[in-house]
Formats: sequence, structure tokens, C-alpha cells
Amino acid sequence: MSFLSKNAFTILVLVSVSTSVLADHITIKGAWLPEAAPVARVMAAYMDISNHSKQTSFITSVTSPQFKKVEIHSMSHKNGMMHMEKQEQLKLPAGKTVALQPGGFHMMLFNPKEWFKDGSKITLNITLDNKETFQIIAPVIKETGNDSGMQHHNHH
Amino acid sequence: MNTDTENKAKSSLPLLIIVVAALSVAAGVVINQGYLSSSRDSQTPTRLEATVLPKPRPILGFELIDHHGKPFTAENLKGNWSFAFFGFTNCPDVCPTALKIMQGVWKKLPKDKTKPNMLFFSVDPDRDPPEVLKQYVTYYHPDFMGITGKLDQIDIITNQLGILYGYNDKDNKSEDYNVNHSAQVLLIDPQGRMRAVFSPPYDAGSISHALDVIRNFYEG
Repeated sequence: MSFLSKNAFTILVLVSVSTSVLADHITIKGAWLPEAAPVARVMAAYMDISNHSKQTSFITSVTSPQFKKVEIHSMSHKNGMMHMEKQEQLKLPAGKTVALQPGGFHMMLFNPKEWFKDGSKITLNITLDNKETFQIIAPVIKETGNDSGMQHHNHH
Repeated sequence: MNTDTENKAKSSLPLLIIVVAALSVAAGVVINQGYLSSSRDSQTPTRLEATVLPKPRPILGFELIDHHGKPFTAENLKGNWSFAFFGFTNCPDVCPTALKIMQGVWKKLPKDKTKPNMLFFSVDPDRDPPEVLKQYVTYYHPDFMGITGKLDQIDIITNQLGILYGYNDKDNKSEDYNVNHSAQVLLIDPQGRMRAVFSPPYDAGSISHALDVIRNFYEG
């Protein structure tokens, strides 16, 4: 967890700012995007999505005015390769938290309208299966690169 | 190793004994010399978060280009340690993560030793021409080098290294196809042979420590 300790203050600030109570029963914590190379056509967004209700919800679409399109992808290790698979929807089980993190589920954002540097704010419009939509703002963070990628976050 | 083909001579036993004796002495000399110089080579340091190959794997016979457009062949793997990673620039998660880890490894490199090479091989040459690769890898560190070329040449090296890759939906007209690929970081020795493998989840500290141990072990 040394990435977290190194950037603890920054993350605390960003997490406190970016915890959003949305659509009555969904909270999203710790949303962020790692800064990518200016030439990169894609970025990833990570976050923890909690469903506080007693019913399963699904995220059916995500858009951003700053990107051409956003997809949700799973990541798995199969046959010696990392496989990304587009998810038509993201299942949010009742009472559980789904973690989007490096090496696992993530949002994939295509064709940024400009290079989003450290500190940029990305707007994500999320639609659920019950047609509710809500918006979150996620910061772009330039990691120091000192620490582990694909850490396994400990969840409650 | 030493396989002596024994010729069954029609000649008499004394001659056979002399021949066998001579060959044994010769073999002994060869084995001894071979053992002294390669004994370290076929051992591996222990207790590392890396898989060190007891038999380093030669990497041969490919013709690619680096991100300056200059030829890159097996000869370029000689003379220094190199890290190698196979990915593509339209990779949102695995490749940026690996390159950031390598960025972290670079921060921990000892100042008194030659810096290794960091080679990012693209398995997606259609979307990763040299100019794109150059901008992509040098964003992570100016020392990093992108390598690309024709797929059949890329296959020559991926086959030797046990790296797999494949395209998802590339037949669609869309430019947004995905490439599945192995995510190991490989360590290549100054003889141009694959020496060690790091598997995800990676850690910059472990990789740089392993590089140190491995270099000391084989270079003394």
C-alpha cells in the first residue's frame, strides 16, 4: 500500500471531495484516472461503487463530454494473457461494493478531447438500469511510479 | 554437452582402450573448463520475487525497428541488461501500470552501475508506428525505448520468449479493437538471453532488488 502512503494526503483530499451520494442508493468513492501519455488515445478510470440498497442495480452506460465514448471492461488472466472484455452493463450487487482498479474492472475512456494532465477533472455521466442518471467528477492524478500497480484493495 | 560417438572399431582391444582413454581425458578437460565458466550461469539466485531461468533462453533472428526507425535485432540485446515488456499504446490499464512500475524501478537504480535498457515491444504495429511509440514510452522515461516492426518478425521474438498476444474484433472497421497480451516483464542478460520473468502484480522495489541480486550473482 505504499502508493497510498506516499500520496496519502492528496488521496484523502480527493477522496473526500469525490465521495458522491447518488441516485439514493449508490455511492462512488475514490474515483480517479491515472495521467496518461499525451499521445494515448485511451485512459482508464478507477473507483469503488457501493450499492446500499437491497436490490441489484446495473450501470448500463457511461459517457463523458470530454471523451468520444466510455466503456466498462473486465480484466482477467486467461491462457497466459491479460484479456479485456467489454461489459454491456456493470452489475452492482445489493449491499456490496464493486471495485474498479488496476488489473480488474475499469472504465475505458476513448479519444480524449485534449491531454488531461494531473489535476484535470473528468466528468462522467452514469446511467443505471432504472434509467436514473447521475454525474461524478474524477480527478486525473499523476502517480509517482514508486509503488505497486494492481494492488489488491482490501474491502470491507 | 559432450556426446562422444563411440565408433565400434574392428581393431583390437588395446587400440580401443587407448582411444577411449584419450577421449575421456579430452572430455574431462572440456567438461572441466565448461563447468568452471558456466557453473554460475546454470545456477540461479534464490528467494527473489522473480522466476530466474536456470537455462537462459537465447533470443535470435528477428528484425524490428526502434522508435527512431533504426534496425533492432538480436545484436542490440547484447552488451547490457534489458527489461522487455510487450504491449500496445491503446492499452488503458496493463501497459500504463507496467510502465509506471518500470518508472519506479528507474528511480531505484543504483547510481554506480550501468543503467539497463527498457524495451517496450508493441504487438500492435498497425496503430503503433515508431513516432507514436516514441511519444508514448518517453512520456514514462526518456531512457525507455519502443520497438516495433512487421508482425511476423514480432512473432519470432514472442515465440522465443513465451509471450502470447491476440486481437479482439480487429476485423471490424473500428479503430478501437483490443489486444490481449501476456503481461510479464522479462529480464534479458548482456548475452541477449532471457534470464528472468516478473509476473503481475509487480512492485518497483522487488524488481529493482531482483535486478541487483541477479546482476551481482552473474557478474560477480
